Amino acid sequence: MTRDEIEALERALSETPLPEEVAARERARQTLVAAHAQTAPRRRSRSVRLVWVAALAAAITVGVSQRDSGLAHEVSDWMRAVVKQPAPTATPFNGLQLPAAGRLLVSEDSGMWVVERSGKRKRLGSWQDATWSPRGLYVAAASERTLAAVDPDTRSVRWQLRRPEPVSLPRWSPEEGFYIAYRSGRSLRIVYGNGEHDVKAGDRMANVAPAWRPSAPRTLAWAATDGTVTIEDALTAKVLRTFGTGPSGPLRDSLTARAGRVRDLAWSSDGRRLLIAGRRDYTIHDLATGERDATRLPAGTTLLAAAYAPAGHRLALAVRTGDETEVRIGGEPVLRGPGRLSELEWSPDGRWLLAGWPSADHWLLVRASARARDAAVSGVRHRFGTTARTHGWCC
Amino acid sequence: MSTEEIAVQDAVAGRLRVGRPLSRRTDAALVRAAQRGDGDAVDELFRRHWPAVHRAAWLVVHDPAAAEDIAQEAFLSALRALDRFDRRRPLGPWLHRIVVNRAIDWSRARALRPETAADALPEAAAQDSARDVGEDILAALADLGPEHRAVVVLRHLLGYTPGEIAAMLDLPRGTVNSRLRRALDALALALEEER
Repeated sequence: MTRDEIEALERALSETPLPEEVAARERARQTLVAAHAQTAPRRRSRSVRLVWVAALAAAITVGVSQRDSGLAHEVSDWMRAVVKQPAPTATPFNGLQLPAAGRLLVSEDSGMWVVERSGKRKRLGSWQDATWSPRGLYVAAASERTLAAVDPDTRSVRWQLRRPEPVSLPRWSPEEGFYIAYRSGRSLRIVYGNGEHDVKAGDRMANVAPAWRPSAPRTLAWAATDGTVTIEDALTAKVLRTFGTGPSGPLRDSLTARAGRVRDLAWSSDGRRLLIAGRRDYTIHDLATGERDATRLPAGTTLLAAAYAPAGHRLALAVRTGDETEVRIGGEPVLRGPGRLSELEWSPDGRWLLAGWPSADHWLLVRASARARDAAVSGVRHRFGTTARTHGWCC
Repeated sequence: MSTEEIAVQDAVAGRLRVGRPLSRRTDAALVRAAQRGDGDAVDELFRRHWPAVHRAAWLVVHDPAAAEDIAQEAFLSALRALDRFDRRRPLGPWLHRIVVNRAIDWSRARALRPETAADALPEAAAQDSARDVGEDILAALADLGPEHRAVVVLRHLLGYTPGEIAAMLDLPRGTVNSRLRRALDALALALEEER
């Protein structure tokens, strides 16, 4: 095997999500702790005594004031009492109900689904990948060798085109929605929003979703397999900017470039900043000033997902260290959970951030206030399997 | 309440965010504390070593239930033998040796007494955006025999040298090297065919 193949092997071995990862761990932990409790000497450490004291105090507090009790508040109070650190406000489960207006696109093995704010879900069809049109009137959906525009209300296919090679990663351009960029085989292709004039726009496209620039709806950023990122005009095919990986390129000293791997591209809502993210580092390019801000993550830490808020420059990142994933907004941690948290989606109003938690069949929702320490977290259990992935939360 | 719900409520309530991080205590210090009956030390040893042990088991057996059982049994074996454990030796390799050998034994037994037809086995789940390559690799790995999968996992997931793998599996070093070479050749070939 080549060195690249060995790296890919090691990445697959260490990063592939395990089925029921969180549940299996909790079951094993409880079994082990119970087994140890049966065999261990009857000595309790000071910290354990403290926990019991705190738990007793919490129980008394809850008993005195039943009005705002509830398991989540009990645990939250309990943790405040024990560790004396600010904890996010806990919100009880509310069933599958989204906290903000809009609809979610969700895929799983059985196909693509639209989840309404009320939690009602509707199957769109056996599509594997999809993206919303700018105002949510249509969904550009891909499956095997077909790209189609589907009406999410009637599930009717407005148009479809078939390619000789597999189709994936469709992304609809913003504002007027004139174009859809997608990957077919290893090529970047762009088609008009009405399904006409399907053209090849680039070669050696990496398995990374292309990103339309919000402030300039004809402008697209896409990544090639060698790590080069190109910003070009979709109408004229004119290359506006290239972030190369050569010795003088701006990415020359990044791990992303050296590994030839770009994993994510994202624009800030004003189209001024472009995030180019790899596994272990990410760079934010300010196209107005030409400045760039490169961040290298510590060893053993990997970047799982990144998403700019629909307004402003707030950037959400999901970063995994060991068997935990931390979600940060603007660099401030707002949530940490076991296993893999990924598929970050901002609500259309920018007030909520959704993090997928595949191994636990849940979505965690962070109410993203101005200060990260005020962030509130809630969770909803969805009815999808462990392969569920979100594909956009739209209008 | 299911374990998933408990885990989610932990996260929702902030317990996971502000809860105990892993300490700077060494494994030896934690083992010593665990031998004295400290449940927190057992819990921390579990949190440190479970991810790699569970992952290694799953990659060798490719069966979620069996992987969980094998990994859990490895920890319980370690717990039962804790009083006899030599604290001068690292805990990780001891656990890895137990879990990989058990995983190989389970896979051999499964091959002799298959419970379902091979083509009815579910495929591994994956959610990563770069999953096409990862899926190909895991599918190719699953096609190898358990002995070959085990050396790949020990070398490329857990980072042991061929000499250390030979000691763990009680094999001549040359056998480990040849299994490793054959396994990597087979994986490379499978990846080439996928392209």
